[in-house]
Amino acid sequence: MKKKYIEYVYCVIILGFLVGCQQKQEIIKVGVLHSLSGTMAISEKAVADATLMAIEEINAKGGLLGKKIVPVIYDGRSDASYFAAQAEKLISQEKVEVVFGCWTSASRKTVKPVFEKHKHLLFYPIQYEGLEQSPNIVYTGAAPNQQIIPATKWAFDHLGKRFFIVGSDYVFPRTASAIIKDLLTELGAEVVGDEYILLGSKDVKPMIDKIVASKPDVILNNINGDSNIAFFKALRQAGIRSEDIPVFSFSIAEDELRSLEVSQMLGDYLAWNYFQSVSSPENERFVKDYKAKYGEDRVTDDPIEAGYISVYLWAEAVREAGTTDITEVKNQLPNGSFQAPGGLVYIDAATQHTWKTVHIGKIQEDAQIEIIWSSHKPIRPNPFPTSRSKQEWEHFLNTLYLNWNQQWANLGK
Amino acid sequence: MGKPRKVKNREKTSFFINIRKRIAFQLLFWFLVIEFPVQVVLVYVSYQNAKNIIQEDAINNLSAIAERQVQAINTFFQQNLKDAELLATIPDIHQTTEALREDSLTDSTQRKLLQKYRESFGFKDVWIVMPQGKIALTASDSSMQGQILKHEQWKNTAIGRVFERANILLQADFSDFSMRNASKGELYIATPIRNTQKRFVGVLMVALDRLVIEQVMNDYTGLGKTGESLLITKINPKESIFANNTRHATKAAFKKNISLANKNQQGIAQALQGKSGSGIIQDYRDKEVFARWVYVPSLRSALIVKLDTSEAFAAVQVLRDILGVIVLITLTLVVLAAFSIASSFSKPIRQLTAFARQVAAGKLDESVKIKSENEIGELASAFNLMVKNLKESRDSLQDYAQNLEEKVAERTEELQAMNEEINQSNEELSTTLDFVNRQKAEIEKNSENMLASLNYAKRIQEAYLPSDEKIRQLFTDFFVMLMPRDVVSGDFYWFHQVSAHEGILAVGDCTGHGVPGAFMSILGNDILNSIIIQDQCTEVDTILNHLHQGVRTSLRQKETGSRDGMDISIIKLDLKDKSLHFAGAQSSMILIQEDRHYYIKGSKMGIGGVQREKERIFEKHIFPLLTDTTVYMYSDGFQDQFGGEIGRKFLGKRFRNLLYDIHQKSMEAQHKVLRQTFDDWSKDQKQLDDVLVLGAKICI
Repeated sequence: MKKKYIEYVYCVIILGFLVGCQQKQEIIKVGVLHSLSGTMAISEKAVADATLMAIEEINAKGGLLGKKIVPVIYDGRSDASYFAAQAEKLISQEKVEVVFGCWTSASRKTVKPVFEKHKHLLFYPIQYEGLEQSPNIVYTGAAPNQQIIPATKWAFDHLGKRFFIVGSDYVFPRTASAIIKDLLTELGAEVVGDEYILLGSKDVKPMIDKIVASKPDVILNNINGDSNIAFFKALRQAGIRSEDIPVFSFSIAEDELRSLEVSQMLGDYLAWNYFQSVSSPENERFVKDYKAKYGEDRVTDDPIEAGYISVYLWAEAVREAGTTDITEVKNQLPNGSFQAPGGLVYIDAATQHTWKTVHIGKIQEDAQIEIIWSSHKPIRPNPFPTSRSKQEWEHFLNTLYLNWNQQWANLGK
Repeated sequence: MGKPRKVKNREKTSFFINIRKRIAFQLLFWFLVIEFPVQVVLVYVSYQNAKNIIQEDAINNLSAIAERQVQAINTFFQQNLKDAELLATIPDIHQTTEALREDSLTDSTQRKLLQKYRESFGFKDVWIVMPQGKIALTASDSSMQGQILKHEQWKNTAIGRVFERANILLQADFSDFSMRNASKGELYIATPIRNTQKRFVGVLMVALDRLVIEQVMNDYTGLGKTGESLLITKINPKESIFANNTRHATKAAFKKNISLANKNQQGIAQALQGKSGSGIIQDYRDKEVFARWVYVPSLRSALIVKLDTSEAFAAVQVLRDILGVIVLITLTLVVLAAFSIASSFSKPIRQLTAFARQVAAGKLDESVKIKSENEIGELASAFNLMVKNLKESRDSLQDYAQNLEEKVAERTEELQAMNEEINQSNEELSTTLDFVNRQKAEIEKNSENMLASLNYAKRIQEAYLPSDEKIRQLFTDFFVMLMPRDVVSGDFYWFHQVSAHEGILAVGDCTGHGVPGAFMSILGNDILNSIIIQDQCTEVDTILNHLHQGVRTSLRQKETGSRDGMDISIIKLDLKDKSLHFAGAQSSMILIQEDRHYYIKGSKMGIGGVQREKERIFEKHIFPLLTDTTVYMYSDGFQDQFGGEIGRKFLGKRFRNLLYDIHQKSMEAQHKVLRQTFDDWSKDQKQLDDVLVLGAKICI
């Protein structure tokens, strides 16, 4: 009798242990950090949605390493320093294995030290100004040579030689503008204007006036967020149509077009690594699933697609590594590749940026984009444009930072 | 009728049917049932395990090789890109470019310059292309000079596209494999040319021989004899093509197509989609191979590193063969062991069985010799002991039986002898019987004669007895019951009327009965006559005395010493005197007057026989007859009679009581009662003695 008792107790203990262990290890926690409120919410929510959709798809196919991926969603509130605090929480308290997040370069710049401190990993899905190469960030959005530079060269080849540059006053537009200006100098083009408004501001009148006065051949647009609504409205009101002076926007995609007057933007240009109109079986499925999940009126665009592919690129690396350990995963990142809706993508070992195909498109009536130029294959990312040396670029950034009182955006005096 | 036959058959075939029940068979069966599945499982598991290990090893090896090759390819790319970029920065190049922009006419010095650089950099060709797409100068292929890469003809080719990319992206880039017949499989690098002012002036394009790639791919280290690396590049979504020649496909490069729809080529299709993987597949030779496939982004091609499974599994085959041999050997050993163990049991058991049969058949002299020291050996010794004891029992039984036989023989002899004796006796008896029968007839005849004689004698004796009338003359009433035992009687009675008022009555019981008794009664009668009638002696005691002497004298008893005589009671009735005189010689009288009973015993001396006294004196008893008196005189025949319930004597007391009881009845009635009583008493007993009872009534 006694012996049987002991056996039973053993069994119970072992079972309990196993069950306990099972429970502990059945899930993989990942962080999703985007602005779900504030001025950037309009753009970032869609990206968060795409990220979650990718996670769901992977879970539906059996999860990752046999475990369920559980997203922990934090709101950055469109506030760069709040982003940093939230990042800290995600890493230290929630103990997530990876974070997919950020949009504005400001928010990325503030969370970068957090990720570097904890030697954690952030997947950043938005096109940006480059000049950065953190070992703890994987950049799945376009580097300057994958968007801004080819767009500018194409505009030079096809649209004209007089350029007016506009943008919101923070690190990305300022840096983009510097890169553009370097290139234009290389090409022998002319920069007739370089104007900025504060993030979120609707005070576009000064820059519109300047455009009218300078009569450029092309406007290169780095304005972010809903300031664009005011800009295009004012531009059209000033009588400038895309046939007159086409606008090449770098921060407007199909999603932003939903809130803009498309009729006012017909014939203008965009440059991205993905358009909803990209023709591939993967994209057809992706668009269909996204619309089915979030609504037929929704659209897909480059940031959305980048948010989606970030998860898959990370998952592939985890699978190859057999673990979620960040060092192991980072080692495997360059070995993986993913047939993304926009074309095959893979991570560049040298820069931890992503090889992406470059597309240039023209805005259509149905807010869809007609692709007029494509690289046809993924292009090697180069976060540091060769027009200046790394040090020169660092110096440039530091100057911006200091001038803004150690902020990455001009917050207004 | 059927039943016996059935049993017989079963017995006959039991030997063979039960082969399935035999120990050897059972043991073998169970050994195999246990051993075989276990072994099969073990062998299978080992084999599978080995196979799995080899598979894992092979795939790991192939993965390592694939990685190595991808690295090599990437290095190749990096190197060549850098070289092209470097070439583009050389002042000669951008100066030539700018010169060509001004004036498109080329001269031989320019070409020679280009050729020099082509050689020193080791490219297959070098072109300088204007930003509008015109190939201004070539080093080798003069046919390309003047071609405009933005034109329809070139726009969508690998060459056209790489130019366009370099033109718009303003960075060095590789082309896809060229499918142009003249330059099949060639790779191109296009890179922007900038002048000293960093102005973009043109695009430099270099051509690479595809053999360079092949050199990287065809390093067979680690690929054994059958392993190889394939580079497959996509032509269109449904078709792909070999990009290198390999050891098994020596002429495949850009000639041999692989359909991506083919089920077996899913690895390639996957890889071209960017997905890497590994596993066992059928290759283009329809052979089973281990394969690792990866996507090589820079070449936009799939790299497949593969090894024939037969080569990898060669070692396992050896293992399998060895295991097979081991299984066979084990099986054989098991079978042998089973048989050996079984026979080590069944042999002694069979010996024991045969021996038991022997014993059953009766041979108890031998013992079974079994060498095993196990339980069977014990059984054998016990068996032997049992047989020994059996033998002893049997022997002793046999001895006993033999003994018995002898005794029986003896007895039989004796019995036979006795039988003969008996037979003899029988014969004698038979003779005797005849004799006896004759004697019987004679005796019967004699008996008849004697009986007739005896009956005649009886009549004479009866004639002697006094008549009833005479007695009645004196006594009022009387009866007399005289029952002789044997026809004639030893008991008698005598009466004489002496005078008109006197009479003498006597009842006598002579010694013996039958004829001697009857003689004595005659004698007594005569002597009494002589005494009483002749000698006129009337005193009863004197009468007895003279009777005694008379008997002695008549029988010469002094000389002969004979004891014959009699017991007698005598009474004299004197009516005048009204007295009764009595004397008895060993004989009694009962006298009843009114209700008084008197039992008067006589003298203790009898009449006749030996006389020792001088003179025999008898007592005289006198009774007054004042009232009616009944007297009884009797012999002891009545009271000595055996009978009744328990065969005893009637006895005197009972007899006297009887008389007391009936004395008031009539004499006739009393006679009847006495007779009845005697008959009832003596039922089935023989009459012992003569019976005489005389009863007389005297009425006064």
